[in-house]
Amino acid sequence: MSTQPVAHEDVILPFRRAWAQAAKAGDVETLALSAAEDIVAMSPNDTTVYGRAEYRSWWEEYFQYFRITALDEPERSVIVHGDFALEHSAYMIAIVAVNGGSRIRDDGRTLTIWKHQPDDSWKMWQTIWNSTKPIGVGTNRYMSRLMQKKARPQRDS
Amino acid sequence: MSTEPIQIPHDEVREASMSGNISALVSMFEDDAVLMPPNDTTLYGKEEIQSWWEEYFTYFRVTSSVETEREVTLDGDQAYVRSSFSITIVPKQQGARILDDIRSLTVWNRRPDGNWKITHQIWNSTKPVGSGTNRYMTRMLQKKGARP
Repeated sequence: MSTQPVAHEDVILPFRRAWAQAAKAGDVETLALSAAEDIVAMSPNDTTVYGRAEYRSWWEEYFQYFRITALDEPERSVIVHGDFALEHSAYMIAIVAVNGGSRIRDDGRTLTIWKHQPDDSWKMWQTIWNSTKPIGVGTNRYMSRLMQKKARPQRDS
Repeated sequence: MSTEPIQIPHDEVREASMSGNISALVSMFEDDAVLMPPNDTTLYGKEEIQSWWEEYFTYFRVTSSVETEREVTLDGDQAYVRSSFSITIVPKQQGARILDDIRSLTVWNRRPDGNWKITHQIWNSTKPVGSGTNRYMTRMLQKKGARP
């Protein structure tokens, strides 16, 4: 048990909703602005993303290949400790490949630390997520294929 | 807020996982801790966490765990530890050594008695899907019929 006063009010919800709306709209700028300058984002089966610029690039690449058609949080909890807020949530997501293919569904969890800003807003500071689904299903098989394709040496034609 | 290293028992978690010392490992968690292993359900509370580790050590042994990056942010009685490490596990029954590269985010809480306990922990792999340690965990779960 902490000796510090802890606020349980979900002060993060409006910021998470704005983020989710931007994710569904493919709005990279809003997504980038939701992140702190020194964000660290740890996407499964991918390298760690350091800083807002890399975070923006990650989303730019994502939206070249995918569109998010549904994103919901069946469970969330937020604990505020001073200028940090700990957000733990479960998500359900559906994405479609931009170039065709069937809809892909995934269920996962995310743990995100948000940082309070001088203008009273909150920005994502450290975020990590993973899927509850068995390996080989869910959204990341597509991301993985994409990365493997990109890493493959180009053949001379 | 401080980013100085603190005396949280972070290394003890690693040591307990390498020695398969479940009671030591579980003692690091708060009673209502939340553990989120990849490709598995969320575990709520010490009892579920203990069962998960018991099952894990029935099948695997951790032979090495090398931390390659650690960032500790201390904010009063709360600490956020972001860590990267390379891990090697060996299936107890048969099979080859499995290597994985992992990132984790662990939230620690300092109790009034000064002891630090984990409230939340999540990790994932940087490796492409189908490689790394979890392919074995998945197979095990599928074999046991825990998945549809």
